[in-house]
Amino acid sequence: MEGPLDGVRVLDLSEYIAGPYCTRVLAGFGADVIKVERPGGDPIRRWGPFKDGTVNVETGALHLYLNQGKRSVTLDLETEDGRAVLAELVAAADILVESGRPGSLHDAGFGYEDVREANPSLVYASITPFGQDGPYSQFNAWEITFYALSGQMHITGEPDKEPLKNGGYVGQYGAGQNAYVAIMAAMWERGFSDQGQHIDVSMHECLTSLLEMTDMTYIYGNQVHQRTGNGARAAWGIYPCADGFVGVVSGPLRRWQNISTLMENPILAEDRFMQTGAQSELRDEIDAHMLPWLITHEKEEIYQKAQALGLPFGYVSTPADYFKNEQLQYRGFFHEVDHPVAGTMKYPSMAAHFTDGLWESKRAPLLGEHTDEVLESLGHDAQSRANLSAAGALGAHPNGGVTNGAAR
Amino acid sequence: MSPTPMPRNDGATGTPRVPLREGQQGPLKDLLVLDCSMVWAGPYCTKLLADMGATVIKIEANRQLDSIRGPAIPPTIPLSHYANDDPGEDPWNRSGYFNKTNRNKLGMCMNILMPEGREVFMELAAIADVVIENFGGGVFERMGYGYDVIKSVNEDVVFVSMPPSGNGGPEAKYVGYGVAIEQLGGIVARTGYLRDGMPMKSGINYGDPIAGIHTAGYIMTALLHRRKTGRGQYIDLSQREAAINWTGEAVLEYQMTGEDPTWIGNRDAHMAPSGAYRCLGDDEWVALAVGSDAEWNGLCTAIGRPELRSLYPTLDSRMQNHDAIDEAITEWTSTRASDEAMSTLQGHGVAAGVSANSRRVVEDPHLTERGFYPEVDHISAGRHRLAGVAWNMDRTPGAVYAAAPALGQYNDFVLKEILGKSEDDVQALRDAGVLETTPELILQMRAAAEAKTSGD
Repeated sequence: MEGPLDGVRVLDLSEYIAGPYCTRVLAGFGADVIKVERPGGDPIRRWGPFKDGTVNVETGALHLYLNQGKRSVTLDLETEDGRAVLAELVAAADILVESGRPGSLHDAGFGYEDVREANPSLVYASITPFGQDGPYSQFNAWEITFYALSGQMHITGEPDKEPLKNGGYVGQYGAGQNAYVAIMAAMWERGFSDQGQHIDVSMHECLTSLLEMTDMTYIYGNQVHQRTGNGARAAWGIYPCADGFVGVVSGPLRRWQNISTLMENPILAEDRFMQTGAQSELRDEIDAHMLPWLITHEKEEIYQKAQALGLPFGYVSTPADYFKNEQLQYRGFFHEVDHPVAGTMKYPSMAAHFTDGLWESKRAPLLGEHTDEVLESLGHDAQSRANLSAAGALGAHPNGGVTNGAAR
Repeated sequence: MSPTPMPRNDGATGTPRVPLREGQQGPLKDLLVLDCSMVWAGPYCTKLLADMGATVIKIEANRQLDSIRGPAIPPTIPLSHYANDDPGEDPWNRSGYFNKTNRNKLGMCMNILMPEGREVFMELAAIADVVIENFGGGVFERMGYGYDVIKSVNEDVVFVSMPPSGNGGPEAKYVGYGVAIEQLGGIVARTGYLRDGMPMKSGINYGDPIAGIHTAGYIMTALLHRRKTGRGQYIDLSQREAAINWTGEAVLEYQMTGEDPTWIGNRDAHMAPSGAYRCLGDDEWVALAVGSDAEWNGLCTAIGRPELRSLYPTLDSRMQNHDAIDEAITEWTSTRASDEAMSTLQGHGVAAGVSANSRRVVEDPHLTERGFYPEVDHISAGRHRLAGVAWNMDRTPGAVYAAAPALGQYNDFVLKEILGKSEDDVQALRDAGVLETTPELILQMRAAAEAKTSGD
């Protein structure tokens, strides 16, 4: 099956997580994504863990996942020749994705205003912590910075402890996923206007958009929303079990009886627990009746048995659990992908089945693996490529460029 | 009630086939989306499309309202704040959660299980580019509206179903809320306080919007595919898989190390220090992470502790002495307002941000300058701010141009302006009891009160 984005050429100048995740999805659906890397590579290549436990720009987990299906070209944009090659790539692109500090690409001559005339149909997406303008636009930021300012951190955690950031990089993944939607929308419109445009994605705003109802607490109720830890409701939250943690979700009152059935404890079916509002007041007592059963049963078993009774339970899953779960195997969500250095591993694919398939899982590129072939496709013959290399345009300095912190 | 002839969307001209409302704009204004989804996951998806100009028709039943409207009679502890904290005469139209999520959408309240309602629904399905539902476990199909049924009147429709773990397979009929999906998708396993024995849930039901954003992108992908091939698509999304995508690297980490992920509070696997530090005032904090030696030097200067630079010059030494560094930072932050601390630290190149509470978010000077909280007039709730469009586009920007629909507010608009029905046709539907603007429970209570009055 031909991918829906076959023939779409993407120039990926982004680094770290948000932009590369966006272009990973573009690549999965068939776009030809050329990842332009600075000498030494995208710094994310130096974030571990690594396949064999030692630092290797080819085997970091984030890099292997985020850069699936792309081609890698190294260019030193500090050199005139490097910038000349980039101009050729920009002219040939349908989509450009970048994550530089606002203004930085303009300084190199590749801001949107600089390139639109040469390529008016280019869809140019900038994915940055705080967007292209406004008082925070030049702020330095890592995940925790915009996570805090978005309001997400303040509502997560215990009320008597510090606000808590979600582990991992959900803020950056979210911005990348939003950017994908925005780019697809722009491509849809381009289909009848033949014109590109500049898309400004702010990680901060993408996250603020996910505040559910808590900003309305202030807008409608003039109050500050407080964090409530693992929840203030009875039988609704995270509980320990024999081999980890389960999510007890008791659902509507009419299903309460099923909690008693599941946990083989008739006390929980007593009338006093089934009065509206009573469960919150009797929370400690309810917990005491649930825990003996929970801590003697395993998470997958609890989940399966609860769901069989129509209870919307979950459990705190880890990758080890995914590989044991029958549903995920049935759906074939994990694809085996071979990589010449990292070997064969199972990678997440896409989160939906399409009638026509459409998604293909491929490996991440080696650093600079496609520099030669991409240059050749631009019309640079062997002599020209050798000249570029000799001029340092292709970033062939050993370990050049990456000075931003030690690798972990 | 003869179906109005309506051209197919050829995806080539961009000309809307239905009348647009004032202010409706964006790259998707030629698209028509029939939205049977409820709560947050599906509605978050259709919010993104509606913000980009798509005409989204949200179908609700008065027997079972979208639960984030809150119940017909306001509960003691409401799900979300009502406008001005007043449930009013029509609390279902005044829920902050609903009104935020469903702005820009047309809303119909129509019984699609009655034959007349089914007929109207199928007329809409026949002209829609996209039909989306997020009922659990095959419910929509049992109501008589599976993909095959919709496809029989709309060959190239993009049909979206988004149950917790996908359709088909041993868990096809499972039920799930966002609170469980974020657990099943690997987010909770990495969230929790350092040295605490329990992981922590997120402040929001993360599973829902993760699924919603994924779905919006998949719909657009399918539409581009349709433009190229002429074929429609059935998209069967798994909310669990969507969440796993946002923690995807953990899947590889496990295969590399044999170790499952765990939680480390506000610390970071690749940076130190990293944390939230107490500031002057009640529940005031500034969060920061130091990702390079330059940032470390900036931090030491900002907090007036230059000697720490050479004491902990490497990432390893900062990792090992994290507690002591935290103390030094807190000593400085605890005598400063959070915004002042952020400004000073950013002035030294440190990636610091205030942990904003809901007031601080809505009043944020940066968001205000970028116009992220525009105001909109709601027919019952009044004029209020709402979180704006999630991204900016310079040539075809989206907009928040209309408030969320009151229950059944656009029954007439959709029937007359989109389906071209006459007032007589619409009256016939009203008489048949297909169209409503009031929850069934309230109608029953009114009828009971009336019966009592006439019986007296």
